[in-house]
Amino acid sequence: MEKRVLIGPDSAREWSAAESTVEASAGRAPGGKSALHWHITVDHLAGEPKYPIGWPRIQRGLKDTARDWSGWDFLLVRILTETSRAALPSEPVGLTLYTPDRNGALNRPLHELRKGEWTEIMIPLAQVPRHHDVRQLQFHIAEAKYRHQDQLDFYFDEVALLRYAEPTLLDFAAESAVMFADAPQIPVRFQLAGVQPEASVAVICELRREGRGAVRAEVTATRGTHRTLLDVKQAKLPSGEYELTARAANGSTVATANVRLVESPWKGRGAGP
Amino acid sequence: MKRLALLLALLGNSSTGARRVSGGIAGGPCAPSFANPPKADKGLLVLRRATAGRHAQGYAGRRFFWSEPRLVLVWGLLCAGPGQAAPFLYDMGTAGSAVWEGFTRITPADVFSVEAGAGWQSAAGLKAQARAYTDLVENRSRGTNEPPPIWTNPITEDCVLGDRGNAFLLRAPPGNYELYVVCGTSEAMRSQFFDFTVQVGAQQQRVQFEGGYQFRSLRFRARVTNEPLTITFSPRSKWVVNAILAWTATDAARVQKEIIAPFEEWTFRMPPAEWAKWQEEPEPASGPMPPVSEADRQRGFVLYSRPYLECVYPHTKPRAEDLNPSLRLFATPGESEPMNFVVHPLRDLTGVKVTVRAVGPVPADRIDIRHVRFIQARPNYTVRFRYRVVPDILEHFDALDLKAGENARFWLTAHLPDDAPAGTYSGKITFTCSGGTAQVPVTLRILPFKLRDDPGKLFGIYYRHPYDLIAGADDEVSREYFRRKADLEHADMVAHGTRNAVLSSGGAPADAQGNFKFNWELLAEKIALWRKHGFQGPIVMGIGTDGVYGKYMGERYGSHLRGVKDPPAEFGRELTAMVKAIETERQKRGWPEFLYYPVDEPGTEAAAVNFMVKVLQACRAAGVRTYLTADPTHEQFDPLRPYVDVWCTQPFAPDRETILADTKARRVEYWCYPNHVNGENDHTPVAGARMTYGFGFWRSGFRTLIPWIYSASTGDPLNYLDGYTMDFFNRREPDGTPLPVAMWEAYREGYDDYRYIYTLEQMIAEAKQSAKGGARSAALAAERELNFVWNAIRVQPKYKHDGLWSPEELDVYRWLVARQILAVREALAK
Repeated sequence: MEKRVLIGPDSAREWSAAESTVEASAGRAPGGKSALHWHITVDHLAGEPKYPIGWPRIQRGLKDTARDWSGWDFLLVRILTETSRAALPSEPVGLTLYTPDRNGALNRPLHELRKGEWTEIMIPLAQVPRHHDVRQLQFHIAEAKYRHQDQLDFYFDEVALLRYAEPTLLDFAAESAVMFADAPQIPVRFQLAGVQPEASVAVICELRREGRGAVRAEVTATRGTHRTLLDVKQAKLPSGEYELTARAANGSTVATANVRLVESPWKGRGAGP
Repeated sequence: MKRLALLLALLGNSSTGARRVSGGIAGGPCAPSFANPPKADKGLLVLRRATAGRHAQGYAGRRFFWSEPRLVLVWGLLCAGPGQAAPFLYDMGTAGSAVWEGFTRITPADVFSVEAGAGWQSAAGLKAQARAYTDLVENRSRGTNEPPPIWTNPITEDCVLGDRGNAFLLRAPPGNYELYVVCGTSEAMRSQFFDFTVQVGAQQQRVQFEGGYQFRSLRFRARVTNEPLTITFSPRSKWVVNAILAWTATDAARVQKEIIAPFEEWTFRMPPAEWAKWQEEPEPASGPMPPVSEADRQRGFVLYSRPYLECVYPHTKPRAEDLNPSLRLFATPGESEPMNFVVHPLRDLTGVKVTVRAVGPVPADRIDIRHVRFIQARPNYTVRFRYRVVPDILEHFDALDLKAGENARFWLTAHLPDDAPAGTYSGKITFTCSGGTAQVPVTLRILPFKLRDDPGKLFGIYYRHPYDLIAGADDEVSREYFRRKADLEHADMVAHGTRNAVLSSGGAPADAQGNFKFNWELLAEKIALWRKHGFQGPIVMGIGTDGVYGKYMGERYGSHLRGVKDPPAEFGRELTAMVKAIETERQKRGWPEFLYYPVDEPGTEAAAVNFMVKVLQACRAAGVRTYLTADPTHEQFDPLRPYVDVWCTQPFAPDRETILADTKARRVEYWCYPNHVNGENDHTPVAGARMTYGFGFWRSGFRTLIPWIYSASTGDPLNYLDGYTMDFFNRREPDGTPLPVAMWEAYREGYDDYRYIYTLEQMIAEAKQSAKGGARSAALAAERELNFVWNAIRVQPKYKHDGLWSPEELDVYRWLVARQILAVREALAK
């Protein structure tokens, strides 16, 4: 995987904080490195006058040169969470990636966080509709999910972009994991990563049963999300468990998924009672 | 000559801009429009509030105002020729309300005479109303300034009403006329059902609508000879009119473009200045159009189908595999099952009709054919200035005209007879239009068993009961309408699997002697209707907590307890007494158990939580169970935990294990109000609605689904952009018959999914007890398959859009369950 660090521990001055503080903290990251420390004392009585139970947050704008994430596959966030609470609520922190329009933005609760643990979160950039123009990152909490005077300390090791170095298939699956056996096609979805934005590669999909190929299809795909159809009309497949495989040309890994074909309710049934 | 003199005078001052003119023009056909001509702006009327007084004698003495004298020349010339009639434009209302520019004010006092030229046949029984909504309005409960229920204009802000037959007459030169009549009121009039006929010549149109904030426009054609043109109003309850326009062919295009089109945009959408702030959000991308066959090109349309759980937007493109579909479905006797197809017109199509023949034992008249109406909807409940065009209402139609490039989806529901024999049957749907005909084959497999209902689960809904409006109705037609509406809506709920509705006891605080007054007879009627339709379970009963609080605190506590303060101990004692009074009556009348619902969605602030502790303690002191709409996973609600018997929460949270453990340990119930699949914030999670109601519900551990609300309307029920909040969920036809939306149909399908599962669970239990080895083996196999389905569910607190099964998968999983029912059934029968 290739990596580009977006925000390191020394970026404290580049963040703006509301109802909370942010600073560099020496020695908190693995290996004794510095970390970015975001501290919140939950206060249900103070803050913005209209919303005393509000949304403490830190945010940072991205320079023009750092806004285009279209050549990358994931956003990596590594966070240590410490708190005065016994445990975190189910949605302890939210991440918002702002783009010029509301529909292109991403709101992602970071429910993976655990008290006292370093948590690595990889967010597929395919989930950000306008990942070619990300203007701002924001981390926030909803005070309504916390108790008054709860103490929260989040340490960010780094925020980085990651990408595969070779063609790789992600999220490969049949659109339906169960299907009627007389369906004429099997729709398959995948995301192709590790390919330069303008390049394309061949992707070979195969439907296999008991180790033998039943149907095969080849499509040319560019980076991004794809849907393709495996035409199974002529194959007259019996019901049962099948394996779907896919491999990108020049890729070293094979993606697999399962699909179960079920005898259809209408099979061999003529009209009438 | 007077006209000419006036025109010349104006032309002489054309460079001076706006000008006020006193005096006027004696009556005559073109006087109304001439007296107050419109201001042109980019070809449209500028709609200004005019304040001219009512004319007493013809048009003499009237003051009028305009700002574009040059236009007057054109306008005047339009009217000037002998024998030519300009538009006759009348705006009905009060003496002080606004008049649409260019229109003549008509009040109840304007009785027709030859001199007047226009007026009522009689003033008897006429009333006028006026309520203008032209600015934001304050909502103290929410502490906000909000958009008004509707945005009025000079025509819609006022009206004339009558409760007996009457007519509006106008003297017009002989000739052929077109008429446009606007009927409605800007008052709420919640208890009024308008039902009347408007007649012009031999043409009659019936108008029916419930309550105010809405308007109907009618069009007529008339031939005038020597008698006045007569527009007759014949009420069954009351009639109402806002404006009458009449014009000849000469003015038809101009009236349409300069008056009717801007009026309709303002009235049925929004005022131009307000509308300019709204932006349309794009439809979801749907890929390129597949190649169109020559046959499709010739007939002018492409026909395709998508699973009904998938939204089809006006410009959704089909995929190649969607084209020229055959529809296949399976169902059990007594079940209803949807199917659909979409027509993508390649050119404008007229005279569209859809017909269907019987499919086996399902007669044609039990296959309901509807058209999916696209509607402008907000992306969330109170969002302003953004909207999407979404598929929503499923409406009946006789014939349609379709616009090139805009999809039309046809939604058919086969209602299987209870005694439908098992088998596989064929049928076809026929689509005809100006371009040609297409047929869609249908295959229906009817399974040889009936679905069972789980008595341990409840499917309910929040509900605004029409009976609450009966007391305020002052005519029997309206009262009967509300009775019938309630009956139809209860039947509709049952047909969609819903057999429980939230009620309210009403009632005021205790009087000086400590006595409470309730309308027991009203509640008795509601519960009688509940029983008539076989509703089940405890009744969630809203009580008048806010009234008791107001008695002791001198103010209301506001929405979500936003302004609540600590009440004195007497408050709690009186609340207990109130609950006891209700309980005593409930027991006396043998009504089902009530779950006491004192406050809706309290906030998480400490003051709100502390207040709720007292409220819930006070209710429980009466020996009853309590019901609270709050998320139990919020720690702030921990102090309430000992006093809540039924938690009702929006997501399926907490998780199944927590719920089962708490229910076992403390007999606490968990109910869910899944508003995220109700249209409150999104009209499109149709697949999420089915998942929530079926497989998701089964997996959740919750006892009840009880969303808010069967129908929610603010302002005009067919304008989802007006008012503070969006309109959502079921609508109604003019006569009150329920009009479903796609998500409501998906509720029923989810409910049916659950019934398939429950039926199999019951049969497995029976087969396990069987003496037949084959039956026990079949039970084990069925259990394995049910486990497969269980494990395939991607458990979520809210099933909405993401992470769902594909729409096709839902039917396959249902079939996996159905197939096991067949197998176990067969094994038991051997």
